[in-house]
Amino acid sequence: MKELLDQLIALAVEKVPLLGQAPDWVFYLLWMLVAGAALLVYASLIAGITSWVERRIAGRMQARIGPNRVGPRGFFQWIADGLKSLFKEDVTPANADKPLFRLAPYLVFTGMFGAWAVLPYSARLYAADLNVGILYVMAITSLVVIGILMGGWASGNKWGLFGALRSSAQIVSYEVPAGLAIATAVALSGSLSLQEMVRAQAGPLGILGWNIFKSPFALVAFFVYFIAAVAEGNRTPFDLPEAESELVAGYNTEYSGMRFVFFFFAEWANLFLIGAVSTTLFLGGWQGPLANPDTWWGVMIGAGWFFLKACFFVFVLIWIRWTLPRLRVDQLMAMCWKYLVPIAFVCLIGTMLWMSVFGDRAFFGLVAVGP
Amino acid sequence: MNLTYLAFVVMSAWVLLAALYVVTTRNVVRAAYGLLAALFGIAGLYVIFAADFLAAVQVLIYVGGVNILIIFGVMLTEHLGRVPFRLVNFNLFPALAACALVAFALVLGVLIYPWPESAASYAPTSARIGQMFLTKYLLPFEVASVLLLVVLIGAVAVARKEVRDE
Repeated sequence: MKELLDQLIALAVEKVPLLGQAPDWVFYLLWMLVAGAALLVYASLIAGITSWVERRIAGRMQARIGPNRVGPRGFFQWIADGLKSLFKEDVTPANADKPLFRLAPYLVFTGMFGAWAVLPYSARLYAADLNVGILYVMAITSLVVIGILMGGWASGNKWGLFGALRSSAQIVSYEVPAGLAIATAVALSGSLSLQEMVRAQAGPLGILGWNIFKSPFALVAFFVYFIAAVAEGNRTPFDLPEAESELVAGYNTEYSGMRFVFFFFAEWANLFLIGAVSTTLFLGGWQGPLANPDTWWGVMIGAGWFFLKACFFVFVLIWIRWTLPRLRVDQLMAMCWKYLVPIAFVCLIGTMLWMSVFGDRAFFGLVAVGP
Repeated sequence: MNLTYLAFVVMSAWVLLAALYVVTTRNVVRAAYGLLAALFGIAGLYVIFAADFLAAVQVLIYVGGVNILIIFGVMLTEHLGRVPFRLVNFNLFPALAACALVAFALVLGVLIYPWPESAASYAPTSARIGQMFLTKYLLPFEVASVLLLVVLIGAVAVARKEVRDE
């Protein structure tokens, strides 16, 4: 995408000579604005459509219909809902800490959306390839916790406060197994940059080089990461922060109108984010049959693989949500600290030992790869 | 005036204003969030100085970890955020002495250290940091990790004790 942009800039400078005198940072600023706007549209589309998909799948799983009135099979329901929320009254409770109450949804939204900037949608299609990519994803998503805490506290409502406390305790706890599982993938790929991690997973047939197939420990680490990511996303079976039966709606109880939508936008955008990061770390990102970073059609097929894999995870997440019951708080914490964290440590150390024995051989050490 | 310098000035002003807000506001919870803004600004300063790894870790550790714990602690105090407390403290001389000492150490450090004259190179730093940790700075690295382990075990011990007393 960067090369394409450079060509465009060269063309623009050729047509309008005056542009040639503009300093470099003007172009960088423009580039960032364009990339940001494109990503925002993409994320909004995905979050919106996911909201409709989730409600339809939920309906199917519970033997009811779900939204099917607006447009073909109810496809435009998400647009109708968005418009409706825009026109709804934005209520701020009298008891609330008003500036913090207003700020909180934006923080949640920014934290979730910031991570989209580094996702490797394809070999050439990404907004930024940071050298510390995966660390950046972990760091910027911690804004979500801050936003949830802020919103829950500023509501001046006990349900909100309880939801916020539960949510942040949960997210901070599950950050540990998630981080260890990510470290396993980083050790296998030898880089923190998401693009480099995907490139390191090239292999025969396009799938045998995936990190998940590199060692049995990585296979376990993948499931550890996925469970921890579900918990960090506050999704069922870990949706204690918004447990309807005990907390009304948790941290977003007092929110209405567009601010409420921001929280849910973040939740649905997070589904795709979990899928995209799991894919990048363990399932080869845009690697797949026929994907090739050197030809333009190979790049497009790679983008298709990435999207398909991420969407598969979105479906699994929805499936899990409408199948499993909710855990208790003590079960949640026991699962994290007594099971996932030790397992993740074993995975990390085991992967390192495995790598020192088998080196970079793919498919559980059976297939030799490498340049 | 070049842009890096401008960015540095803006970011420093941001950090200082946020820090000033932390010590002047009467609302403890807002002070905790002000600290968050200051820590974020410091990550911005690291970015300006081309320390990408440090910036990410700053946000990860201080914003995502330490600050959340502070907010947690503050939120669990009684009368949430409406604790009346005095902003002016009368331990003037110890405070002045401590400030002077810190300022002296900082200024001395800035003056003594041979700072590189060339502009920062925007090259990735994480690989080199890792190599340095495992070669030249192995001992400090290990000492720090032992310290963290001690803190971890200490925290567990403190938490266990309360359970046993019940």
